[in-house]
Amino acid sequence: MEKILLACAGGFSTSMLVAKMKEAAKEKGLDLWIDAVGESDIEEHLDSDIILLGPQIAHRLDDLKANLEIPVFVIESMDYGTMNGKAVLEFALNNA
Amino acid sequence: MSFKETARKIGPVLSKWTVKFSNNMFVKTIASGMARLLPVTIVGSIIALISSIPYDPYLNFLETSGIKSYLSLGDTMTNGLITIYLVISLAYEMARNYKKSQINAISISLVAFFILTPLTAFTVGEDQVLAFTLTYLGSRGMFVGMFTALIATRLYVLLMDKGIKIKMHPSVPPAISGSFESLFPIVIISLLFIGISAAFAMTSFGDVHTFIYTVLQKPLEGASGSLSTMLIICLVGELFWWFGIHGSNVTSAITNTLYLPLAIANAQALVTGENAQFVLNSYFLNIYKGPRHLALACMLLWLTKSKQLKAIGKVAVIPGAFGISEPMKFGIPMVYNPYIFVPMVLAPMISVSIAYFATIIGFLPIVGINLPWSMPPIIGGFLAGGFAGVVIQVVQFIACIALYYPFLKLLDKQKVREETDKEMELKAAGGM
Repeated sequence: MEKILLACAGGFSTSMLVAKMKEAAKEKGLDLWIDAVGESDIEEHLDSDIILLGPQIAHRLDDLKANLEIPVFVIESMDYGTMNGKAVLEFALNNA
Repeated sequence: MSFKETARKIGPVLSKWTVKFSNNMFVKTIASGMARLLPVTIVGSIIALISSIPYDPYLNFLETSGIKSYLSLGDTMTNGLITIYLVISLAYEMARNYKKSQINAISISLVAFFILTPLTAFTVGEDQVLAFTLTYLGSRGMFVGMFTALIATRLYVLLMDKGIKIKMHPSVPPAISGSFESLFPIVIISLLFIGISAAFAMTSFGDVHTFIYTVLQKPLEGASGSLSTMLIICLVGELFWWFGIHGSNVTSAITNTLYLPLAIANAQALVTGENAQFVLNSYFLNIYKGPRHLALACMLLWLTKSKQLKAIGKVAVIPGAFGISEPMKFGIPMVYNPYIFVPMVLAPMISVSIAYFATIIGFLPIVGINLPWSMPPIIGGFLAGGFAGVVIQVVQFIACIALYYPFLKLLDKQKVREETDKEMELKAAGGM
């Protein structure tokens, strides 16, 4: 587990969550690559271990799942709303 | 069936429809291709901003010092040639999506566009000069550019996929026949566009540009100039969001097609000192959709009693100032929330209407400057409309608060009730 990719429409709001997740990872002493991109740039990061989508682009899930070999999930919307980096990091670690 | 149940049924259907619409190759290409024009339009906007500060001594100085002519150069080479950049970015995006050579798609699209664009002949001294008139390469040519790039690139992809094979003598090296095969699509498409150009020359329109402008662009300008069109776009975008779907992304292909040419025409008018014409345009929408996210976040922070809503307000207020609303959309949550539905849908429509009427009565200047949607209110208003812009954004801010207030109070009461119930339960459990 090294690379966690978050994606939303433009990579803006996910970048906030990324900052929170990095904090949480630091607390845990984990050295992870975590970043956020717009959905159209997902294909440039196919070396990711897991892809997490913002709930606002949940409609893209089936399509991405069918085309990528990486596990893809939608972030739980309450965790997203509260920008709960800890919970999302935990989820990523458990599901990659 | 209750409101909520009905909504839960509609959501997935809408989501499916969204996927279909936004996965359409033309929609996808237009949405992301138009977004790629941002660097060019921002340069054009900065120049429009510098050349239109409404202070006469300053404007005179620009004129007498000769700075004005350099500013015009910057405008002409960005907004004045916008269709060229549009053709390039659309061809690039579509070829990228189809995983075909992007440089070939760009070349063939440009060739096709220039073939369709009339040349003007005139005499300089003793020389005969052939030239493209800038009119066709700026905002007026955008529809032709769009169609040309989409059709030429789509044809290129089609011909590449079909793989026209040429049978050559077996002793011809395969790399040689391959190089001929890759040239074929380009030659065919060029010939096709030459044919189209020749066909239009025989009509009363004379050329494709005049045809598209007369039958499509001009009538569309009429439709997009009416306030109701923009209100419907706002409504649809907000409805999508209420169902948890990123709305503006879905509508951006339509919004930009309708409103970007008008915005760019305005920007050019600001530089040349003419009156900008189009009140409603995509830059206007960026700035005057209203500071509703910031307004709501401030209300959560200062006007609610629920702990959860206050906590969301804390997370949401700074992103809200930059137009980011996801913490509130999913934290309150606004998504699928019957309390929030009415103010959420109405807020941008009311803000747009306020700015529209303020412009119509001459209080607010017509917008011709592109600011990123993430530009915080007040600053954005000032850059686009001076003090009048600031005033309008403050009015919008107050309107958003007034609109949300009664609904948010109801929601707050409900949340407080839930929170106290939970506390009681915890206490009871702890007491056992």
